Amino acid sequence: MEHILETNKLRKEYPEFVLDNIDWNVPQGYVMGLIGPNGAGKTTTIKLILNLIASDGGQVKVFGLNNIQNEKQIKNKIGYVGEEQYFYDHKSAAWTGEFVSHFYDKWDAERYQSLLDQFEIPSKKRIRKFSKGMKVKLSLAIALSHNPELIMLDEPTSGLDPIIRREVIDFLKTFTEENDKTVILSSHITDDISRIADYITYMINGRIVMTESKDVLLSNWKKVHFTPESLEKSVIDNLENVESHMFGSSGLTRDYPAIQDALAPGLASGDVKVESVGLDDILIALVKGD
Amino acid sequence: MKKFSFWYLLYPCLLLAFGLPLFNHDRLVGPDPLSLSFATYLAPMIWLVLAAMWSHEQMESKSNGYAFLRILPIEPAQIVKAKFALVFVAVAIYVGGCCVAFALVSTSPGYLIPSCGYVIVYSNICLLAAALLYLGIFRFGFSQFGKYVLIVWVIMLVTPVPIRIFILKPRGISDEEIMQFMRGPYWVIGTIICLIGYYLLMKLAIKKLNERYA
Repeated sequence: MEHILETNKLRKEYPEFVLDNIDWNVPQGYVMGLIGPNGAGKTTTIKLILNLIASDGGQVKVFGLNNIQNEKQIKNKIGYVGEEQYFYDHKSAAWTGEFVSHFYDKWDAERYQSLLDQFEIPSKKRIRKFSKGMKVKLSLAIALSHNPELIMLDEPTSGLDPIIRREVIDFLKTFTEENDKTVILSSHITDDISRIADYITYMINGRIVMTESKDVLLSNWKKVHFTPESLEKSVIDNLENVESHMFGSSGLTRDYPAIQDALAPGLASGDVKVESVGLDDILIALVKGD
Repeated sequence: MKKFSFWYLLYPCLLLAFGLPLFNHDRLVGPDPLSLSFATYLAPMIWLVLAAMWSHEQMESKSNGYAFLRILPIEPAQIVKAKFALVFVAVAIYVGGCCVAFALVSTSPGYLIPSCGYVIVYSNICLLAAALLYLGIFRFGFSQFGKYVLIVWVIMLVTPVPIRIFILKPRGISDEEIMQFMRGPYWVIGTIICLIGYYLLMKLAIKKLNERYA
């Protein structure tokens, strides 16, 4: 599998936070979801990849090129939407499109206008009069109008109402399916990532704790409900976040196929029940176990 | 550059237009149609290029322009070079415009050369001041640096008046005598030094912006 992005021992130190030796590969042509609680280092990682901040060690290669030596060339092929949208807000969307078009080799003015129309963004209105949702959509229109090979979205839906959030995510889903683009979507809203990601990376306290295909992840991680006498101790010991309650106990397994046989008798008798988990359940388990 | 060029060029052109009636005044009262009052009026007006530059930096700061530019495929060096080039072009057009206007009305080099020199000296100061302002903005950030610049700005605007009243006038030094100083090679040498300084300050500003981004 070809990797569009590779980081090697990437490091950034702040007085109260350290991004520690990040080795991360993003496969080409897929959507990679980057999940982590606030302050985990997601934005720092993305900023380091884009060379928006200087690293304290390690290397980043995007499209096989060093991100510092080839910054301009790389940015020409990346569409980026940050958590905060910065524009010359006394200007219009039309002016902004015209302005940024000078910097991109493959700027497609028609596509930009068509995205503005699709997002119902008025092209002549001053950006300072735009809502947060409109600014995100404008940012997205700019990010997608120069035919980027890699789209990096850092908490793009943060602060949006659920309707706009769904609209943005649905658009991204359709866009990535139709255009075969590589997307990195960072968010602490797991529902957004769950809807479009092919791969998931969990980041906690400045470290990458897991990268896995979403399908594999969701088939491996299960929640097991059981009565204490229905499972062997060795199986229970391998469960995470075991909690007891009035109907019995429950815990998470990160390798369901490995314990499937051991659970079979309990499942048959009805003393054991297995439930699918969401990406947020996994996140909580990883944070607790960290 | 294109983004702000209209405003940079508009201010100096307006000032030049406002100064034109002085030609007629000078024609009536002076030995040369170009007397000194025209140059002494026009030269300090170059400060408005600084004002234009400052107001645009204020807007850049207000709308987080540098953060916006940072995500585009443009290197910090290009941003700095474009800003320095724009100031330089605005100043050059203003100086060029003044000198052409002087040449058109003057009948003697005795007034023409000092008048041009006077404007060029002011332009040199303007270029260096612009470079230092950019340096301060990239080093400290607009908001932080802005607090101190206001004080310097007021001093720059106010000091010529007491200098004239309390130093030059009691010693009987007239505007014309000051202008005669411009006849020599000093302002040419000064201009060369200023241009080199402007270039070096641009290099330093590139370094500071890179550091700031990091």
